[in-house]
Amino acid sequence: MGETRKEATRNRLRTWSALGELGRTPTEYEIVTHAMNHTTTRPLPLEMGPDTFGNRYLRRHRDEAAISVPDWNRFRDPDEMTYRKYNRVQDEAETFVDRVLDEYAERRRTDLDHAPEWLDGLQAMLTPQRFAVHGLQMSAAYLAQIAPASYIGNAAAFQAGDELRRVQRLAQRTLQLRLAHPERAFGTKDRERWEQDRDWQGARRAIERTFVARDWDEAFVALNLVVKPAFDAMFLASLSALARRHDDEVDALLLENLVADSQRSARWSRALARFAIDQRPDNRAALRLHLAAWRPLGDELIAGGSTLLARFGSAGDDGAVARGALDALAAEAGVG
Amino acid sequence: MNRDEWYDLARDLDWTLSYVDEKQAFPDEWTGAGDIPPSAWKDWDEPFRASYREYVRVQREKDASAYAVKEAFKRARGFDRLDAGHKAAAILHMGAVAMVEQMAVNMEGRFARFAPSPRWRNIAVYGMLDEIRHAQLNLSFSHDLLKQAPQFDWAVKAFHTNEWGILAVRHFLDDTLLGSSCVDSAVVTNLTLEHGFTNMQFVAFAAAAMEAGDVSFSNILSSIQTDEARHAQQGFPTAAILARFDRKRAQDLLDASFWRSLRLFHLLTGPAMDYYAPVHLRKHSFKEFMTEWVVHHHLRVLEDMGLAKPWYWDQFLLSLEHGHHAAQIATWFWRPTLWFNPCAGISRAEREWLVEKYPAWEDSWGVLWDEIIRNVNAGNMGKTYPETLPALCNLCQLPLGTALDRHHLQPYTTTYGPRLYYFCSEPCQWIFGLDPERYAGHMNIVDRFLAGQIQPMNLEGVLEWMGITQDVIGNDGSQYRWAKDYAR
Repeated sequence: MGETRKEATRNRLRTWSALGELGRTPTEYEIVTHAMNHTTTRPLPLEMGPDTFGNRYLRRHRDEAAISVPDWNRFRDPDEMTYRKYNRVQDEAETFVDRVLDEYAERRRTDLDHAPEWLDGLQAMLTPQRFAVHGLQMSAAYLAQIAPASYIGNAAAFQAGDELRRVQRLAQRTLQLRLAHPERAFGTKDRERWEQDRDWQGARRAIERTFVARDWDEAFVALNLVVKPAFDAMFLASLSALARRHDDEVDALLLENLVADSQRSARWSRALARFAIDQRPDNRAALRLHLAAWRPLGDELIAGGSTLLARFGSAGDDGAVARGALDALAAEAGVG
Repeated sequence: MNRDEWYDLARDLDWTLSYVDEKQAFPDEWTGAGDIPPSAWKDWDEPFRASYREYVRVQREKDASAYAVKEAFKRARGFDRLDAGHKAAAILHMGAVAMVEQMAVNMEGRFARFAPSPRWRNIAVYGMLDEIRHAQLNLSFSHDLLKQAPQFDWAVKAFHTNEWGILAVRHFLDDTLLGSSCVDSAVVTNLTLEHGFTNMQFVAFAAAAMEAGDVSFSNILSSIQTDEARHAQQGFPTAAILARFDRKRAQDLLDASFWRSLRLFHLLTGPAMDYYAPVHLRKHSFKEFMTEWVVHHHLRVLEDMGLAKPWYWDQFLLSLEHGHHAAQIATWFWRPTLWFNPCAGISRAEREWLVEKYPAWEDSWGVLWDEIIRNVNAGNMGKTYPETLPALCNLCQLPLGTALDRHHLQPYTTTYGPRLYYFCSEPCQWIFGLDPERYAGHMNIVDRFLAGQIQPMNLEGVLEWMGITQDVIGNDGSQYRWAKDYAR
């Protein structure tokens, strides 16, 4: 075991042995993301007794899921999101939003110009979203912890970060509106609206139901192929357009900017579904089963949302547009 | 806009669930609230506030700086020239810690989903992001050095193997990071292990790395620590609420986590501080470091919560004298089972330092090393290598006899169900007894060996089972040069 022999047998590693023979230089994304879940490559996920809660849970809700592929570590997020890239991208996006809020709400005080009907609309549709989005944030975090590979878990973690971003921006808007119109007490009745307004119950029911989708594949389809895209179509995209029609440029620009985060989620979700089907065509049937179970909840969310938007002057086709978006996402994911 | 003015609007977001059962949405195995009333969680409050906007800007700047330093050092190819002791510590660190950072992403994700307070759930999202940062910084650093030291491959590979030290780390951390409730994890991981142990150890290690000339590694460690307070703080409000409503649970949890963290530190930190670090650069001994920082911090935490010192305190103080010396001689002797090259750290100069810092060292450990030295100088290298596996503790997974020294060898056993369990110490035995069902089903390496799971049943079979390959297999970091100090 002398030094000379070790030097002679030293394998000049160009990259992680876990990456195998790539035949090319690994990307920075691969270097920092690859094979970083050690619990999926052995029969017992955790170094604990086989019948402990953690081991039973992971085996049942992750390792025995209906969809399977030879190696989830072959999946790649099309955005190749790393921590470094995430903060770069989001810092720039946040800089834009800072400027919007400073220019319109703080400097020009445009909140003072809104018609009472639109203020009613903001109280009904914008500020109560904080609760819904907190729910989306929670379910994204669930996906991050139950995912069968770090390539998937990290993408879900960044998605949770995006939802936190959204909640905080909505909170800031709530404060700005409250200061501009103290008599309306923006924010104080949001929980009540979320819990009781008829038109919010579709969204609330869909989001709450994601809290009990335990199997990782179902959790993924439910949140990322149905509930989140449905919610974002109504309360980011359509609401943004409605805000603009009411000359509410600050909310239009803010919500539009947040759409970019939503599209990023859709990109990796589509890619993940296609990957699963490419690796094992039988996965399509399993994914479609989940989709069939969850789509009605998505449709109810959309129905409630479009009624809500129609109360405040939308053209009334938001529902069709949102359902179309869900159909398109499913088709692009290979499960339509 | 002042952050404090909108902060509550972004975090007081609980509502009453109507469409799913609360217990289904927040199962107690994941939440861990137990008998603590739901209303108690309204008081949960994080000491350090953060806005997402500030977070992404500050973190972007930090990374620009940390990665720039790393790039500069990479071009300089400085790692080759660093001290063998520092190399050992760095390779050990990356193998043992990089994956743990990623596991912490998972734990923070658990908090973000299942914690009983929306304020806590929010803070945990920053925690998830922070830990991704830490994992990725470590991996980036290690990957750069692969060409110079293939042992850095273990930054990814380690946790996919059955290497015994890694299994010991996993027995503790798979449990607390991946298999425990939010309340338990926050107290064990955030409060005790992170805030109470590693927070300080990383700072000390960063300073030591800088002294050793590893600017890049030092910079990464320091940069990682600037994030630590933000997410480690989750432990404080959680433990405070727990202590108020379930004192016994809080006390037991803190006592168990302190001992388990100590045993982890015996293995991962003690040898690095007292044997690998270049002797002329050592600012403090492991014992001094632990006493000044870790003990002091932990006692203050207990006092703040109105809790008592751990019942095993006297045993802890004795273990502080010996535990890491035991780990050092054990890991050095079993060096073929390591993925890095441990330094014996017992040249004359180093030995003088050890004796000064630990008056009992010569009698407890020096006599054992003298045997090894004699064999090295006589050319009987075979006698400086192990032929069997040591008996292992069924709790901490470390060899029996390594909690104290040779004068305190005492068997601790428990019969539970059909099995007999062995422990290195009374506290390990006590921890097992707190929740036997949690630990009883696990088989340590010796159990697995005796059950025929490792084939062939010899050292070669063990090395293969542990994933040790020729390009990483451990050997003395200084090529036994220290033995010359004792040659006649």
